[in-house]
Amino acid sequence: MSVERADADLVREAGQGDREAFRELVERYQRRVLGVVLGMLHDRDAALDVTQEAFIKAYRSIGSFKGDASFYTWIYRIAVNLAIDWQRREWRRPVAEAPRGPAGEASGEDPIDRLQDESPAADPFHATSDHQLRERVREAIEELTPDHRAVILLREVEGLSYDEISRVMQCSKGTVMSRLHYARKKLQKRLQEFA
Amino acid sequence: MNCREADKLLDGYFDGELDGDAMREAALHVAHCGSCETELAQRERVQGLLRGSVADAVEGLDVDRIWQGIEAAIDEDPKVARRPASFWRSAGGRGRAAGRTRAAEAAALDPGGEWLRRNSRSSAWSWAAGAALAAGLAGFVAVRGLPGPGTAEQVASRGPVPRVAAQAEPPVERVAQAEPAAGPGSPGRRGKIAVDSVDFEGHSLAMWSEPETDTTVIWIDDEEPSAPGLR
Repeated sequence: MSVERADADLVREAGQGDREAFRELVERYQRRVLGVVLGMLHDRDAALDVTQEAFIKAYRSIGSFKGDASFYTWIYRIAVNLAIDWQRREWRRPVAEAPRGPAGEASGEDPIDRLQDESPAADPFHATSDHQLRERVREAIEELTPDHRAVILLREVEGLSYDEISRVMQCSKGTVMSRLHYARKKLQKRLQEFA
Repeated sequence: MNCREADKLLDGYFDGELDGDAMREAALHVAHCGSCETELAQRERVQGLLRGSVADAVEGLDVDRIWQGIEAAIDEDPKVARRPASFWRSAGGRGRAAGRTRAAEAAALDPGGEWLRRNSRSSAWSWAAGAALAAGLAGFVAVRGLPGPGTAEQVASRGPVPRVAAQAEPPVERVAQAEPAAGPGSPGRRGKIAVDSVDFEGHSLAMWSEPETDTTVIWIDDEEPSAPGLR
């Protein structure tokens, strides 16, 4: 029976150049990090790139990583910062229609659209109106600022505590609570008719 | 507790972040208030939607691509825990080092070139921003003559900056020069503030000099491979 090694041990070994230890960390957290980034960016290729870049940055400085923080809040912080930077760059760029492939494989396709199409039975709102719901969810998330998106995804999707989110976002706990409250209210308002 | 007061506690109650007393108060209110109960139900529904959506979306992605890209980047530059580079390496070498790493990553991960195009664009923006900043500072010094005492002190507090060891006398163009303004914030200042522009072996340098604190700030537009003396 294999015993799962602690993050701290893997971090230490990775810092000494053990690539397999770092790979274990990547495999342990890549889906969670990718989930937050994908929720923020709504672009699958960009989310994969940002997640990958976050881990590369982590690898490059893992030897100086201080053990007083957990690895996952650290990697979230790197990834969220990269995602926020990416969003801000995109917002400054002119809007262009992403080309769509025959199977909906376009990079600009909303992942929420795709999953609703693929698994309608799993959608609690399916009986009401898939199309309207997809549009409302996408619009509601896109109306949030990058900081608000990050906070609500870290809380609702990843289940991080307020303290952990404040460490990831490098802001006060009060700011986390304020952003979370605002984001929830906004999403609820936009989705009110489906609730 | 009324609904207005309860609303301030609902997030903490929903997330289990309240202390014992507050948690009990909130629970008591919600148990007897249909409006707040609905509010909580809506939070739960939005949470479920977000969780399900993200989990399903990630499930459909090729996450193996992430490690492949990481491994390619590590193979390209296996160093870990890089210590902060020196000032000159940071100023002159960072762009090239990052560029090499990015190019390698792009080649490994992005045969179509879209990733590289995006990053090249951002790099170009970085250079443009740097050039705009240098031009703005030169203009400011030319018009106003002297930065405020706070700025000068901040620059001085960084300590003297090493000067460029030029191998030959490059042509120097004086962009701006000004007498320091006398005032309460700048007693006893002597000498002239100068902003110079130098073209040197394919590099464009801009130098801001303040004799009072013996401080020189140099910007390097390092598009070409740099000479060893500049590193």
